[in-house]
Amino acid sequence: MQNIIEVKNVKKEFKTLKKKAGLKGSLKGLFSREYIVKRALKGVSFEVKEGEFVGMIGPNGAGKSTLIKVLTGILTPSAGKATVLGYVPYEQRQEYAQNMGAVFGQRTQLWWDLPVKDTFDLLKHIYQIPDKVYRENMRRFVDVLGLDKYMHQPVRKLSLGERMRCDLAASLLHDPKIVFLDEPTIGLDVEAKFRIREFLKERNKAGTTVILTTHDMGDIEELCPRMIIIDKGGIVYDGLTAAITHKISNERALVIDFKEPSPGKISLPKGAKVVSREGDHAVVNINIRKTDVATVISHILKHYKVDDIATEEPSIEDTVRKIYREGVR
Amino acid sequence: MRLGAYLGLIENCFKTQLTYRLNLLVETVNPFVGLAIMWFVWKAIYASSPTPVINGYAFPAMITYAAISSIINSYTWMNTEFDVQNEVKSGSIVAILIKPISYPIYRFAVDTGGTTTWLLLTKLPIIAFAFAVLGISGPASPLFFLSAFLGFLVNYLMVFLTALWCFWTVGDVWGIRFARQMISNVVSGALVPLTFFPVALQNVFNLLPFQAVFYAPLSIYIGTVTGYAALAAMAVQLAWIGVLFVITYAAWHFTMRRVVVQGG
Repeated sequence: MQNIIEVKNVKKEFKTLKKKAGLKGSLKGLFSREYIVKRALKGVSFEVKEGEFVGMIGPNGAGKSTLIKVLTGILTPSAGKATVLGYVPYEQRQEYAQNMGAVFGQRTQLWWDLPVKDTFDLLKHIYQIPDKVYRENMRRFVDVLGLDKYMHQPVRKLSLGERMRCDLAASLLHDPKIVFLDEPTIGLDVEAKFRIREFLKERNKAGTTVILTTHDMGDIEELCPRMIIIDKGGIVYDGLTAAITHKISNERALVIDFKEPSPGKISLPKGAKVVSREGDHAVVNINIRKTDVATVISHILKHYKVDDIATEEPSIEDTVRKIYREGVR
Repeated sequence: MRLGAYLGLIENCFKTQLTYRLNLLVETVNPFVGLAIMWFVWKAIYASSPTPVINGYAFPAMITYAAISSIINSYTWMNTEFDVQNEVKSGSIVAILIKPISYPIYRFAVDTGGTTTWLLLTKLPIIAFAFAVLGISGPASPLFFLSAFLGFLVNYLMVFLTALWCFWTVGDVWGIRFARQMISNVVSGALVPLTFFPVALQNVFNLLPFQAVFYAPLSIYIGTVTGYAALAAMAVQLAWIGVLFVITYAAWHFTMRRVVVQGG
């Protein structure tokens, strides 16, 4: 498989005006201006192969959206180089746009006052979509996303979930080879989310490469085999979604059911501790840097009578939260 | 060029404006008020003048001038600065920038669509009124229509240039927009013919692009500029289109390299 995205050491700095507080500060600002340089991306490099479904996550302000804007050709990086489909997005914007789709969840690209259908018709002209492809795609999208009920309503009358489904359809109508989705499931109900996920799965299976940013770990777990975590302007994790807990987390949990009569105080090897206890049940946390799961289990089995014992990994969400809070060590 | 796409954009613009009916009604009535004011002002001025011809214009010619100027004003009055500012501030410009179309041409299509709708839907009554009731005369030469179109292009390029300012400032464009409008009103001949100004000022105004929007087509309409002089005036308009196009093109590309889209 070929690389569809190549990003090499991309940096982006913003210069923003430093606003001083109060009226006095505002007046001062008329005469002397101070700028703050914000480094939104501090040298990001990665590659994506054709047909991948990559989830991009990171706390607010981490640089995800900046990266997506560079990759969609809206922002020119301060340093480094990005190529997508062989184009440099910010230099060959128009040619590139023909082969790319994008949804920015917090705003729409539909025409606010016009019926949804009119926007789709206009997109047909903008992307010069052949009649046959257009009809076929419309039929399929309307079906999978359930658009038929509001095709003739003005966009401003649609609910968020309805609008987002239309936006998604709009971004994929021209069969782009790659699509960038910036928080497409933000604020959506379960049904809308479900429809959108099904739709994206289907499109990815049909060969479209998908880059998705989201705050919803459910999206990532269900859709993205690969995950890139961005924090403070850099990539802190890039790898399999399923492997992240193994790689990142130092903690495992044991859930133990003791046989009656349950023991009083439980003694454990160094690195393991009881985090909750309720009658026969106990949850034990193990720091695998200090000991390992097998040692703790054999210790428990040796000293206590046990009905059941199960190991649990922290959820991906817990691991990700830990990364946001503490960084990667 | 994706002509179909831009025509579609114009069509959408047309449809959008049709959804706001009250707006259309107000806009239909507005020019009557403006023209009535001009009529009374000029009536008073001519009544107190010792000669029936002022600076080369008799009263009927002056009313014709005012009426045609008001029509030119209706299609050169653009809200491009505000629209661009909204698009930049809200970030909705992103929706255009990720499509395989040129933003400047997109803007041009939308703005042209807007003003054409405006002209057809709200200005036909005032045009009919000016001819039937005020008895203004028709154009002295059909060259007027070509000249008016060239003036439209000159105006658009200037408007787009000031609109580009929005990409560089997060603040408001009210100031720069009204500065452009005020300067234009005076130095373009929109309010009074340039012959009303002292010769020194006229010479300065003739060096500016604003006169190519109003005074050039108006003079051809009234017939104060004819024959080769009319062709020369249009050559100047074309020259301005060329110069402004090059500046706009360069400014746009420079802006795109630096642009920072807000939000997200």
